[in-house]
Order: sequence, then C-alpha cells, then structure tokens
Amino acid sequence: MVVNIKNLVKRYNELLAVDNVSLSIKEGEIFGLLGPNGAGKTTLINTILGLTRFDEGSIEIFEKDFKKHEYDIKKEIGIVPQDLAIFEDLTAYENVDYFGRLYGLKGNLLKERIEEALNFTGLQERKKDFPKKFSGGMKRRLNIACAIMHHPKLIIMDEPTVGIDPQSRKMILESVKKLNKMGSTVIYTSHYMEEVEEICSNITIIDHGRIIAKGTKEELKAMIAFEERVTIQLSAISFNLVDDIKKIDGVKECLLQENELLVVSVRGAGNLSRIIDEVGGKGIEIKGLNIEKPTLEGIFLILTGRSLRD
Amino acid sequence: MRNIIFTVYYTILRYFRDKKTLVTMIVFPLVLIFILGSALSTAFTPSEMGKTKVAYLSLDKGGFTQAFEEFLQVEDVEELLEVVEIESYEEGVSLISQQKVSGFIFIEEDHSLRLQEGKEAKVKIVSSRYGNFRSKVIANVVEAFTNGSNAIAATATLGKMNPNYNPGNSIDYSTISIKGRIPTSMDYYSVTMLAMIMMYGSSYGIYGIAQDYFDSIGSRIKASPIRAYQLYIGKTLGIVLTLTLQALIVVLFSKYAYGVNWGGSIGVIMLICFSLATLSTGLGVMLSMVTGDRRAANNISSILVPVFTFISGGYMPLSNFGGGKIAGLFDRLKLVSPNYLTQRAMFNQIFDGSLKGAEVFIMGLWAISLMLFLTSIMAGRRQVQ
Repeated sequence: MVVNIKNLVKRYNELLAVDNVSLSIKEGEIFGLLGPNGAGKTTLINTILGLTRFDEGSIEIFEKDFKKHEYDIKKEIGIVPQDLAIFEDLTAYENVDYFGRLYGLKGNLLKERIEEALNFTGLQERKKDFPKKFSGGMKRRLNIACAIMHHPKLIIMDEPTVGIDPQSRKMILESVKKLNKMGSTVIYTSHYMEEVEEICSNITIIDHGRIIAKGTKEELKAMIAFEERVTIQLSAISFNLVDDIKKIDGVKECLLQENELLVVSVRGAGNLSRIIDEVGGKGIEIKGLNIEKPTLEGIFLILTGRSLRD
Repeated sequence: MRNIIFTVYYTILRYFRDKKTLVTMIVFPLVLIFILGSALSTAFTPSEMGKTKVAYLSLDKGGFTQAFEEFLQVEDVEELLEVVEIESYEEGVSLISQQKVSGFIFIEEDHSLRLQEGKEAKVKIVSSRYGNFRSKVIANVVEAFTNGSNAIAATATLGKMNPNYNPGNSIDYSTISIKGRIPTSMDYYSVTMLAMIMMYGSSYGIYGIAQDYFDSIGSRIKASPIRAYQLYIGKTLGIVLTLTLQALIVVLFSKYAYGVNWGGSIGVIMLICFSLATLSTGLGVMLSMVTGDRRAANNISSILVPVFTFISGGYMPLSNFGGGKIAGLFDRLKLVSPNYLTQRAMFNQIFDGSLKGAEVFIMGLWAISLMLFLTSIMAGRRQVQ
C-alpha cells in the first residue's frame, strides 16, 4: 500500500473535521477523493502531509510510519495545493528551481528536471516569464510543474483545476493520466464529479469529515442503481399509451410530456423490449430513446440529500 | 547548509525585485534625510547661550558679601550672569515662580561672621525646576567663588599674610573645535532616519512569516523535506541581509552625496545595521506569530515604529523635552527603543571613534532580538494545530 490510514480523527475544538476515516491506496492507482467544499478533503490531505496534527489514528505512507520517517517520506511526495503555491516574483524557471532544490536536486540533474517539468506542463517557452503574466491555467500548470520535477512516487493533487478554462483543465487531466502511466500513484481531490469519473480508478466520497461511500466507479454506481430511467421521443401520442405501459411488469412510473415519454422501472426488470413493442403496437414511431445511467453526482445526491456544489 | 544558502539567496532576490518596497526602503529615508537635514540645520548649530538672569540678595554686611559682589562684577562673570538685586527673600522666590529669573542667590545675615568663627556657612541658591541648565550655570559661578575663597582661607590659616584673591583665576574658559565632534543636522537625521526605516523593515519579517504560516506556499514548503530550522534560518538571514544591504546603500549614498559623517569605520556602522536588522526582523516575526494575522501585525508595527522613533529623538532631539517629569519620563522610555540603542551605538562610534562605546548598545539590540525570537518560537508552538 502506498497510503494506509486507520481510524483517523481530527478535531478543531468542537468541530470534527475528520471523523474516524480509514482508507488504503494501492500503488499505481489514481485515487479520487470526492466531496463538496468543506467536506474535510483538504484537512485529510494536510494530515497525510504532516501539515496538520491529528488526534487519533495512524497514517502509514510507503508502509512507513509518517511520524518516524517524515523526511524520507516527504522526499517521495509531490503536492499540488488547492490554492496556487508559486512565487509571483520568481520566473517560472526559478519557481521550479526553488522547489527542486527543496527536494535535494542539484547540478545537471536539477537543470534536466526543470526543463523536463516545464516541457511536461507546456511552459518551456515561457520559462523566463513571471507568473503575473500567466493566465489562470498556466499558473495551475506551473503549480503542477513545481510538484512533479523530483519524480515523486506519490502525487497529491488538491482540486488542481479550480477556476480554469476548459482547455487547461483538459491538459491537466491528461497530464494526471500521463504521470500515472509513468509510475506515480495519484491522490486527486475534487468536487467536480466529471473529473473524478474520467480519471480515477478508485473513489472515496467524503462529507462532514466522514467517508460515506468508496469503491470503483462501477461499484459506487451499482450502490444506487435501484431504478432505470428511459426517455422515448415519439412521433405522436396516444391517450391509452401511458396507462398501458404502466401495466407492464416492473414499471414504477410513466409520464408523458409533449412528445416525450419517461418510463421509470425497477432495476433489472428487463422490460425495455415490451415497452418498445407497446409503443410500436399503437402505430407510434420511436424517434429517439435514451437510457439514463447513474452518475457520481446522483450517488452523492442520494447519499447526502444535497448536490456536490452546494 | 545548502538549504539555508539557497533560501537566503531566493529571499534576497525576491525582496530586491519588489521595486515598490525597495524604493520605500532606500529612496524614502534619503529624501527624509535631505529635507530634515537641510530644514533643521540651524537647530544643530551651537549658539551663544546669552546671560543667565539671577536674583541676588545678601543680608550679610561682612567681608564675604563684599568679596562676592566684587566677584560678580568681574568681566568674565558679568558675561555669564545678569544680576538683579532684590529687597526680600519673598521677592526672589516670586521672580522665580514667575520665571523672570533662572535662580536666586541668597546670603544669610551672619554669613561672614560664621566663616570667621570657623562655622559652616552656605550660600543658598534657589532655582526653578524648569531651569536646570541655567541653574547649573548659577551654581557653577557660586561654586567657583566659594572654592577660591576656601583656598584663601586655608592659605591664611597656614600663616601667609595678605593673601590676594584673584577671581579671574577661578573661571577658566577655553575653546575647542567642535567640527566633526558633534553631529550636524544632516549627520543626525542620517542616523535617526536610517534607524527608523530599518525598523519599518519589520514588515519584511511580518510578510515572510505570514507567507510561511498562513499562505498556501508555506504549506507547500513545509510539505517538502526541508527542516523547519533550515527554512527559518535561511529566511531570517535573507531578510536581515536584505535590510543590511539596503542600509549600506543609504549609508554610502548619504556619505558621498550629502557628505554625511559616518565616522572612520563603515564596517562597524554596518555591524550596528546588521544588529538592528536582526531585531527588526525579529519584531516582525514576533508580531506575526503572536497576532496570527498579517494585517494586525502590520498595524501594530506601523504604530510601534513611529513611537520608537519619537521617544528616541528620531524626529527631533528630545533633550530636556517638556522639562521636569516629562523629560525624566522620556529619558527612561527611550531606553526601550531599539532606535535609541542604534542611535547611541552609531553616534558613539562616529564621534568617539571607539567600538567600546557602541558595544553595550549593540549587545542591547541583540538581547532584545533574542527575546523577540524566543517569544516567536513560543507563539509558533501555540499556532500549530
């Protein structure tokens, strides 16, 4: 295991910021930590990094106790903080140089790694510029360059795409995948479920400091897929259609809105062909059909009763 | 060691790139030195002190009074004192309370007789507590006479006949060249404004520590494998050297452009600057750690620095400021001002030319710095949650 957390508890006076959290992250994973703002993601990350003391529990990283091997462990971790953590008064090159030196790099190796990190994040052409001249996306990329130049085994990315344009977001998500392919284990926190769905192999959903669900994407979706929803676009309508479809086994609800029919069935009812036959039998042409799949957003909604962006 | 060195390098690089602050730290004191030094130049030029007005009443009709009154008419004494003869003791006291005279010389009725009988006899000097300096002039004149007369009395006792008293011998005037021995206004304000602006350098300490403790970049640095002591030594040293380099620019510019007298050893002046820079950085760090809030720390600093500057006489010399109790209060208050310690260290070095005179004040700066850093460490432990 790259990370093994057991029964972690962190309190801020009366507030229970991390509530008995246990989780394991395997080598080579892109581990998604999903939750709304204020859920406790950053506090959890900070305890993993030793930036915040915890009250109870234990943290092992690379199968070593963090408290005992803090400096050895830190050498193998790269952190991309939620807020930009770059020096505005140093050039892009100097920023990466500074953090490279913090991780003990020197001489030619340092120079090579700076070039590599700037190339990787697409900032090579702008290496002599100060970040104040950069767009939000470029600053985010520099934020990443500073975290990866020492080839860390574990990269922790705390909401790395907040407030950036879609193009930069795409580039960052691609770079996460690339880093993972190059051998790094990644912890990726976000409140954007699309990002987590796209890149993470394992996901933990956290709210109010507690883990409310964890597993692969498929496992999580299976947890809430109690029903199946089908929408059918029709060429015409028939007054009996809704009542007749409701009579089909497994159908819980059927609604007609203008020319669109919504059918909600019990999960695994296997009644889609009968629904189509019923529509066709009334001489109505099917212009379109959409089977809705469960999403992480839906999972979060069902588990907490509120949206991820609340 | 490498970690400390590159932290120092990047700290200096970043602060010197901050043009706005750099201008404030270098150009601002140079402009102030020029303006204050030029505008207040006459205030620092030694001038004639003029005559001291003194009330005089002697109820004694004997030889002492006769000799004393002759003494008062000696040309050298007349240059110092303007004697106003009065009729009663009460009149003398009244003139003092109205501040019409600086003092009152009173000789009792049997003064000469008591002297002849070998008894103790004293000339009474009454003065206003507001007139310390001029009261001392009066006391010195009377003392000069009594010392001389005692010597004559002793000589007579030993048997020498007709001893003549020459009052002129009792007061010895000599002139000395003061050029380079006391500060001109430009010299004075170069020292005080340099001390002031370096104290404002505490904002570097505030900013530096706030970045490490309250900003995301600090979290990132602390998540790296650098040791906390390496980071803080590097950062503190970087700030201290930045301030010292800025001070060096101010010192050299004022020396060659304004002709300011910085004494014979710029090295010692820079040592004093380095000491004050350490204190000022420590002050910023301490304020940041104790308040836990960059803005609050800056607000406190921006109140403390002018106060320290004022009580140390940075804006204007405060010798005998307000007189009496107020002057005494300022005399005690200034001892806690880092500006005062710096100014004394520098003036002693510049005008006495000895490191010894500056040593005690430099040690004072380091003692305060140590207290500030220890307070910061204690506050820092409280901050980590």
